[in-house]
Amino acid sequence: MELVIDRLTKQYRNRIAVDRVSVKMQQGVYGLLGANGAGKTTLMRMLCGILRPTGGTVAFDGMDVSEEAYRAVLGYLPQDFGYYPEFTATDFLLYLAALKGIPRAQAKKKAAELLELVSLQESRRKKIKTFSGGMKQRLGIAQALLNDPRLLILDEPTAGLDPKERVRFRNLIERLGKDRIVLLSTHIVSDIEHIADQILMMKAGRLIYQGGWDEEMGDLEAFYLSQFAEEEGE
Amino acid sequence: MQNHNLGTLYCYEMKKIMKRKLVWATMFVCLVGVIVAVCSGLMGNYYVDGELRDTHYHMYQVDRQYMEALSGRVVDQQLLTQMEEAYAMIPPGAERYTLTEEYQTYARPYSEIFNLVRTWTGMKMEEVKAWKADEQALYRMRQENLEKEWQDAMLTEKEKAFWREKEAQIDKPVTYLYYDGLGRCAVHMVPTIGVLMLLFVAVSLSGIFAEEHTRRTDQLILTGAKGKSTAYYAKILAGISFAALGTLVMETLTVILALSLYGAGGFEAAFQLAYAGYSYPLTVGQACLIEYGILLVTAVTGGVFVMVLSEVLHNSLATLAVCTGWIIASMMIYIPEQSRVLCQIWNWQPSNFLAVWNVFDVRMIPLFGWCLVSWQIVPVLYLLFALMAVALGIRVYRRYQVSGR
Repeated sequence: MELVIDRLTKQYRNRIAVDRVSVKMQQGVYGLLGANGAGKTTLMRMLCGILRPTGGTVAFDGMDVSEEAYRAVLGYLPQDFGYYPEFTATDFLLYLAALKGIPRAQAKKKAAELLELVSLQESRRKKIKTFSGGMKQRLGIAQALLNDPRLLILDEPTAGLDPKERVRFRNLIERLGKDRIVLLSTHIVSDIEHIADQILMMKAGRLIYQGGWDEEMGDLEAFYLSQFAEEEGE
Repeated sequence: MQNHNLGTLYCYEMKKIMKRKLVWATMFVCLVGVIVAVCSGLMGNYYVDGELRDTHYHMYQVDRQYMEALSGRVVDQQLLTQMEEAYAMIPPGAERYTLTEEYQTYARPYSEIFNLVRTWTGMKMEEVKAWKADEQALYRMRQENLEKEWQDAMLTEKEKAFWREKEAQIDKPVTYLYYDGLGRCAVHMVPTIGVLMLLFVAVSLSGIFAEEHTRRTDQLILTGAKGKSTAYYAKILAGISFAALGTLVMETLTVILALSLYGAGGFEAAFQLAYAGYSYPLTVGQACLIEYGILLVTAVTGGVFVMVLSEVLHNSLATLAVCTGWIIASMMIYIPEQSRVLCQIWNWQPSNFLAVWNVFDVRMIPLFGWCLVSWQIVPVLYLLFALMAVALGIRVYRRYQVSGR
């Protein structure tokens, strides 16, 4: 299992949002750190095939990002995803399961499992418009896992979760990373420092750090903040 | 294992449409519009010099009784003579002859035939009153009147020959049958249902694609394995079936109301009784089926247009504004008949086409040596347009880029 990102670039008229990013990912958890506007979301959207790069390529096990087969192994939680207020949690998951090509009987089973996993089984018949922000976020996480994705991309997944839910979520990600590629973006270092096998740090569209991080290398948060300090200094 | 899930996605798309309150509010307004339009002829009173003379409902009941009494009679010398004699009883020079006792007693039972003679021959009221009843002359004058109308419509010799042949196929003398219920469905109600249907389609379907973008659910859809293919077709299918369903509801309500209020007979009546200037040998019932079929095809085409436009504009309000503006503009802009091709094309667009005089237009469309009438070719053109719009729409849909949020 390998995700190959080769010189991926996104340029808008007078701004480069992502600048020649190249990474090869194998199974494990990848923590993508960066300040707001660093290019994390743009990079993730290109990895999900919903934003066309200006240059470069993305391929998973030889499948190009534009192919249906690529999307079939992809799970994505966008930073600001929408929902259908009149749908129940179960309807929402069954609809997205249908979009992912999962047969209905299998989808029902999977939806029930995932609702339990994200502690929404009690609210499965409630309309999403009655959900709190945290519940919606958990539902978003559940939808990303519907197709047992081999490539899971999570953009700021812990936003809106309370501290207890964050811990549960971190444990879940750690488990998921054992047999798939999980790319998780955040600007909160504690979300990833103990679970990420690899750290990717972005600044102004570029990858400024790529590799493992252990305690011997010092405090990740201090290193991360020092990058901001440099930016402010510039 | 992967599935196309078209059926499941279709059901969810239908659910999304049905869950919108605006859709139901619009449907309610449209149905009220249909009810008012069908019943309006029976509402209100008839005043003469400020004095209440009768109610429209009662006047209609009287006229209907007379029309039903004529039903089944052949429009021949005998009937025409009876009409002539009845109208001759009206005192000459009466300023408002319909108010005279003689008209009410003798002539009114034949007023339907009187009107038929007037519309068939193009004679003025006074000319018909002075006319010496003559069956042969009636059908000859009808032919002459049609020839004049064909000339005014700038028909080619080939078209005129076609219509002469069709006119010859109509059984003459024509048998009068009471057709008021179906006639109202076929002649008067089509433009009303047409405009209501177009508004309903624009309001109901302008959000199918656009709201996925404004609601930001597009990211979830487009990253699904079937999100860039099956999901699109499921949306299109749901949209067109909902448009057709809504139109069918309006049509059914119209037919039920019209037939129950104005009578259910007359399916076999010659269409020329209801619409004088058309020579195709159709019955009123067939004409009604043709028009209601065209309404359905138009709903489907209009639905596709609205959905694709909403995907291009990514905004349901902008889509609604464009569609409403188009409907209003098409009602206001008139292209003179002298510019035949332009006028004909302008009249083919949905908000103009849905009227008896356009569906049953005598101007034809030459195609590969054939001459086709508008109700045969325009629905086909609509379906072709819809197919092209679907093909264009999927290109726009697949190329959509989620950015700048």
